[in-house]
Amino acid sequence: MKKIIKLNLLTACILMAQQSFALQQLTDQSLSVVTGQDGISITHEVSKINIDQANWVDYSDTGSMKLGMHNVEVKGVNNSTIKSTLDFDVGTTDRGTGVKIQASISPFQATVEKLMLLCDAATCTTAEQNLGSLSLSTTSPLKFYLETTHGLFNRDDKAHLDFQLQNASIGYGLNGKNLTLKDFNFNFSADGYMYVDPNEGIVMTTKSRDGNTDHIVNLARVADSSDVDSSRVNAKNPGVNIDLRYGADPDNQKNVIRMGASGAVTNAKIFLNANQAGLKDFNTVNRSGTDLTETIKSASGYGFAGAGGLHFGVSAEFTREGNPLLGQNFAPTTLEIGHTGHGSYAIEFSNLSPLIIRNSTNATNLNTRNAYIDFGDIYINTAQVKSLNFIINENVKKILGAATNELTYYMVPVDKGQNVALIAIRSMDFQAIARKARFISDNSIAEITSPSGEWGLGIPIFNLNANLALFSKNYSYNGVTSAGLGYNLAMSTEGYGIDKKTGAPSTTSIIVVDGAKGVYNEEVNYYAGLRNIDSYLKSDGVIGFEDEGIYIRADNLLFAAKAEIAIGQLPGSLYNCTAATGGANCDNKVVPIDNFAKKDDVLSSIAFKLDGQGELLIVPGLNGPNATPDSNYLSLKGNFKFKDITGPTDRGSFLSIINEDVKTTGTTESSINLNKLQGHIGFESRIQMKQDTVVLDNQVKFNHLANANSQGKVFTAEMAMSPAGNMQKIADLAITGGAMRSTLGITPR
Amino acid sequence: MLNKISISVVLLMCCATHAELVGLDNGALLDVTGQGGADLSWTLSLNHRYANDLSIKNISDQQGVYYTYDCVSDVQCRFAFSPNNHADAAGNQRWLVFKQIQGTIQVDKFSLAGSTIINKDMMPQTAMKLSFFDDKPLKIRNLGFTNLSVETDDAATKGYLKDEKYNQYNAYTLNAQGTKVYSSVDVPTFDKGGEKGFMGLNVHGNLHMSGDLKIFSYNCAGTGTSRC
Repeated sequence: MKKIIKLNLLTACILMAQQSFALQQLTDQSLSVVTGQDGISITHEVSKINIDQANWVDYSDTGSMKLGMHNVEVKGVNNSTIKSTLDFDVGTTDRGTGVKIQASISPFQATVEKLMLLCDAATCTTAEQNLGSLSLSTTSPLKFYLETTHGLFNRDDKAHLDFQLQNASIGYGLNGKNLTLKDFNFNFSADGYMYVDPNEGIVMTTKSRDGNTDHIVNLARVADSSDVDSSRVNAKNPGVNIDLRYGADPDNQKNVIRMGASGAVTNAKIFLNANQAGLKDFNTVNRSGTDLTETIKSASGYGFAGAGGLHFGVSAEFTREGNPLLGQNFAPTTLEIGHTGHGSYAIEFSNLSPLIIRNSTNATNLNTRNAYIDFGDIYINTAQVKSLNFIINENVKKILGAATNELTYYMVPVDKGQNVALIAIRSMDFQAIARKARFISDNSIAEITSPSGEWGLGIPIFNLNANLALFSKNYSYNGVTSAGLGYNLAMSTEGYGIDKKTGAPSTTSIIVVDGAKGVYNEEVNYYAGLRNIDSYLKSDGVIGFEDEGIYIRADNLLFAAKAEIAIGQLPGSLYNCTAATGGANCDNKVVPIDNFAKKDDVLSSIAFKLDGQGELLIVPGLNGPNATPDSNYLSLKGNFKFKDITGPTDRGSFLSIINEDVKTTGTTESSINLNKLQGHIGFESRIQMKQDTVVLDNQVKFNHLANANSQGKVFTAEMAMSPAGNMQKIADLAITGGAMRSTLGITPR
Repeated sequence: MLNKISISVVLLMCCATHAELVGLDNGALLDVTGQGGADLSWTLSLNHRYANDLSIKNISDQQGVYYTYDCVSDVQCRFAFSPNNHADAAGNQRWLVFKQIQGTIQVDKFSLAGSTIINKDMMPQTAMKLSFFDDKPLKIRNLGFTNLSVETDDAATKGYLKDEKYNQYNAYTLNAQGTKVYSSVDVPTFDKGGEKGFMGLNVHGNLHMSGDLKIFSYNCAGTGTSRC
């Protein structure tokens, strides 16, 4: 009995003790200690991972087509193990139950020996194709942090995501040589919404469902961990850094090009699903009507894309100064492009704006929309393809002399079709004009402190559609046969139109912009260059990695384009003159917002068609501790052979300079032309980025195979005029050979 | 508190004074004059050493000049022009052939900028302004051709590929009987080895230009007496 009382007392005491413990209030201090015990924390250590095959199966072709990574090896750096940690926590937030996931993977090296395209049905043309090798290595931990406010996927409640892939190296290899993304950064911190939608698939977006609330994705710059000059303090590379290097020796690769993006972007969206319905749909602008808004034209030949395949998209708007979302903490978007490696220079672009400056002719109605990039709809399929159709616009149709707007091209062999990995892009837009640019130096040399003046550059792209089919193909270079990557590319751009998604006038152009302040104390926005570029490129051949550089051969190359050579002010700018100097027509007068649809600024138009075959060698710049722009530059070497003329009515390859006059009766066109271009032309271009100057050094050899013993193939052409629509021959001309070199130095101010 | 305020005032004054004392540096001056645009330098060379060898950095240096003729074979440095289907009686096409066509031109600096003009309709319009400077002349070096000739196609060779040179000509002497005795004689050294033709041209010098060239578009509306 005594024993029982004692036990009861003990039980009561224990219960009371627990009760009182439960009642004790937790201080902040103790909470911070306790949190570690909450949720799940997994620490994992591995010395090596080997995967024989990891295949992605495209069910569109009864599951017989696979894209696979074979012989994958993942190991730690410097013989150490790979440590990964995963912390998972669930907690109450003011919106509901939030999730916190934090992951980190210590530096590792991953290699994929073979990237395989497999087809295992009886009808397959090729059972196995080796498309090359892949590698990925990191030097700092790869970190991922996600914090949601209500569930894991929720369209209406905010989540925060940090992703830190810093100073990584991603390589693609062929024949023991690699094209590498050195110091690759994909470093961002984002607020937005993550959700799953029956139509859109998995989506991450910064914009709320009603579109009224937007958030920032900050592409924070990353400390540069290699080759930094002693004068530099806190040397950093862009948050998204694409630095292309090339060569066999991983420690001493040569320099190709560098691109980067930093700062805050907004209205960003990434989606991923498997819906292939849009693969056949091309946006196009109907030139015959007055409405220049994009409309959909569907092409045939895409029946292979059914249940499988990937469909994804990425888009974001670039911020500029004055954007209220930026606040005190975020910097506006800057883009960089230039040469890379020791002692190199590049150009940084800022003050990114869309094409139109105002929304109407009202001087106060400023366009506050942002410049943006929208990769459109990207589709990835593996398939056995016999032929594909491609939609072209009226201008391209006219240049090609095509019967319809729908072109058909065939794969090899035509009867059975070719097993390919097909990457298709529909309606990619890059509507950004930088009104300020400056030269910047690589972190390996001292910083440029002097200002670069007030100038900018615009390479807006509108409605880019492309089909890129990849397969394995052997090729011969200098008598040696090697394995290469075969390609078949069709690509087009739209010159001008109204974008269907944004409703904004959009263009494909290459223009320089004067971003200095004009008489009205705002950017004057003079532009000059090629605008409204309608183009179509069709090429098939092989890409190979050679000791000298990247070798691209086009067995059939067709490049057609039309563009306007123009000078003016960007649509919606204020004419740079005052009432005092230019009369009443100058008083705060706005340049028409459909200026790019008018001919007022056009000096003349050019159109050309190049049809033939060619070779191109991309020769990277040499790296070294004493490298300068004179020794470290990108060069392109190549040659082009015009296709033979098939008969007297065949215009062949040609170049036209066109004058279009707008009359009350309509637009009339007159032109001067070089038709029936024939010959075998060689060229070499060097692009030298210097401290304040870009030098374009180009050499053309008119008959590049001619030598002391052989006359080669003389460059010939037919000169013709078309004063009123009918082509009238004026003369024949011939250039028997020789070399011409043009060296153009551009120093912006 | 009063102290704090006075310290702030002193600090503010410091800042103000500091700002006033800062002089304009070169960079700031550049900002004032800069109106966008670009300074360009351009070298164009045809069939000269500079054109053939990309390792040559400029058209001349202390080691010598690089605007001299350089061609694998003379017959490959030609430009031929055949206007209006010009042909002989047998239908063979005739060509005007510029032999050993060559030249280098260089201008060290000219500027490109935008400018606004008032056009004939009293409306503002943008013009491309190219500025040339007196101290940066257009350098013309050995621009021209050695010989110009008219060549006709034959069954074997296109006219522009015919490779005929002045080496020897048939001369005769009269012997004691007064009969012509023919012999081949070398042409004078001036022409010896030269390609056949009737004239040559060589331009060498500096062209000094100063001023602005404004280029703008003009639409021929087809009204009134306009010819379009």
